[in-house]
Amino acid sequence: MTTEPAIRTRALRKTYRSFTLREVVAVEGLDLDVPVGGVHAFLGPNGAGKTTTIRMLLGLVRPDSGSIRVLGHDFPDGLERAVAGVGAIVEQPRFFPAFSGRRNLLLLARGIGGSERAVDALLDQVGLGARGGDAVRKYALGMRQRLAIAATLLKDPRLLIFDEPTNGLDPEGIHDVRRTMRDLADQGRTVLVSSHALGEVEQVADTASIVVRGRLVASGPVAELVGASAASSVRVRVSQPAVAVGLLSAQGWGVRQDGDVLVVDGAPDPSVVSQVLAAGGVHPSELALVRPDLESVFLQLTGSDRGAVVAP
Amino acid sequence: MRLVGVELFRFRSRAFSWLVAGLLLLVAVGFAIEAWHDTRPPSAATVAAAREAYESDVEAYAPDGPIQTQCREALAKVLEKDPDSTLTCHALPTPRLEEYLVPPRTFADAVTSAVDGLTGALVVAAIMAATSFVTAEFSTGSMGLWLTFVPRRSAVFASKTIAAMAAAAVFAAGGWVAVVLAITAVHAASGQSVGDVVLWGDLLATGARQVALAVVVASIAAALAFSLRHAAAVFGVLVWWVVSIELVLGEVSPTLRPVSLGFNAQAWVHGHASYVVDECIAVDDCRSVEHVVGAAQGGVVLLVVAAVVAGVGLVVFRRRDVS
Ligand SMILES: Nc1ncnc2c1ncn2[C@@H]1O[C@H](COP(=O)(O)OP(=O)(O)OP(=O)(O)O)[C@@H](O)[C@H]1O
Ligand SMILES: [Mg+2]
Repeated sequence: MTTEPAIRTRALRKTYRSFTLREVVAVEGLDLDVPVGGVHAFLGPNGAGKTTTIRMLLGLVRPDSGSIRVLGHDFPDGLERAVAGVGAIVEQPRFFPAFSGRRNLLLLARGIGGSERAVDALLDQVGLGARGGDAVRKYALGMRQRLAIAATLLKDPRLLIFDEPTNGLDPEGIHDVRRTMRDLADQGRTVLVSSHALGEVEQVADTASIVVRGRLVASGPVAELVGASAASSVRVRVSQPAVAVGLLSAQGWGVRQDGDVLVVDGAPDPSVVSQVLAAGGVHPSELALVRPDLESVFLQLTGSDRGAVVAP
Repeated sequence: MRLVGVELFRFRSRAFSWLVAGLLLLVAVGFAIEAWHDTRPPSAATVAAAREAYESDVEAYAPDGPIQTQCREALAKVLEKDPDSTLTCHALPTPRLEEYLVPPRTFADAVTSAVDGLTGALVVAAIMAATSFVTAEFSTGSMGLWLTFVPRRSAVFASKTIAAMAAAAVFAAGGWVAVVLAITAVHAASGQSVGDVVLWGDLLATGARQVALAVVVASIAAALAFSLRHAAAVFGVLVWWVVSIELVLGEVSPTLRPVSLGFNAQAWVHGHASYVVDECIAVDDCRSVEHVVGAAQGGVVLLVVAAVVAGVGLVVFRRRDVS
């Protein structure tokens, strides 16, 4: 038996038509595979079609063509059974602002025949036990996000989908969300998290898919994606840039100079750069590894035009 | 069915629902105040003014009063010219004091006219409650979240519409009872008889039809809300309909009166409604013919309209993307 992916789409396509009848292709021929278990990052720049894809996975948006299979159920017939196992937050969590957090959860729980006790337990679990009776209108963004996470857990879902869950959160909130995603994955659930910034999810994601303009351009383990696309560079600040450029170029590395700051491409890691400079009598006042960000990955992947797919 | 229960729970939780209920109570209070005024004995000033008018009329109408005197003088002149005239001065009736005081309003009159006037308020309450119940879900964006819990769109449509209809029934019945109770209490307190069995039979029948009307109107409003998503759009369509169809069309061509929903609603609530059309057999041979529409026809028209609007709302909601 081959293992069934948690999500599998083929040739998925969605166009939006505006009032002026101008067509926007949001998703174009997307083949997305999300393996069961672990955290899968769904990456792409703004407007790449991430949210549209997620809406289609939840049955909120109807694709023009293509197939969707979630948790082993084919859409549209299996939508109800599939969605029963999925907890999702799409864009900003949307609750009734005038109702308390607890009442909002209670309504959702009753929609699926859940119990009041489960609601209270979940509110405690996400740390909203004391504020559960307040109107959601009065919640800070981080509290809404935690309420939304509680909502997704009402179904005890096998698959969780978070659409840019850290948007607008402070560092502590971002940390909390990341830890929650990791915990959920460690419990054996599958987590799909969309983001436009690789750095945001790099530490927590096991695998990733990258979409650009509605198409899949790469997918595979995160480390491979980062490694395969663009090597890291090292940024140094030195007092004698001219001397340093000579020393570093002699190693066969690419060096770009901007005043007393040099960016070194092709060096294996910062310590080697530091050694080379020290050997030449140059002591850097600042030394940093510049990780390839998603943008450089995109640039490289889209630059090659054909969308090099990295096999897992 | 469980979903209808959840939707009713949501409805009860909404402050707006209670606002509409409060407005209906205010309407009942208004009717109670009016009834109280109707049953007050006339004030001393009113009685004094009436007595003054009565007394001056008694004098004026007396056989030797100014009116009869004038008449006899005029008659004498006529008889002078034409001795054969048969004109006479008739004796005038003696005025009675009761005729100068407005008679106290009867309970039957007060309660019947109040119940008739209540239809509009019940319809407006049903429209407000049902429309905002559905559109709030779209405007807050919580419809998307709800659909990830209950993905069957038909079930979502049906449960919300049925909940809105049930709520409209409760509002209409509650508003009706509040108004009728208020008027009955006020009239009973002033010593009037309020126990006419035939009257109560009519009242209850009208009330039941008003509740049914509110339910149908709520289903139309909910379905429009599902199609249009914004409360402003729903009210825009309703205002357009009232202005162009209800008000203008009937004026332009009386034969089109039966198209008006208000007209059919009237036929339904009152048992019948009629309109007059000039029908001409020849260019100069026209007569006004009254056409009567019965309760059954009015009811069927409303039901057909509700079914069509619901069908459109369901198809639109099932197909449309939700964000
Ligand atoms: N309801 C809509 N109507 C019309 N166009 C839309 C609609 N929703 C999205 N689009 C367009 O579809 C494209 C993809 O949008 P989508 O929101 O899926 O991207 P995204 O990857 O989620 O972007 P972001 O990072 O900004 O959230 C964009 O060009 C967007 O303008
Ligand atoms: Mg998005």
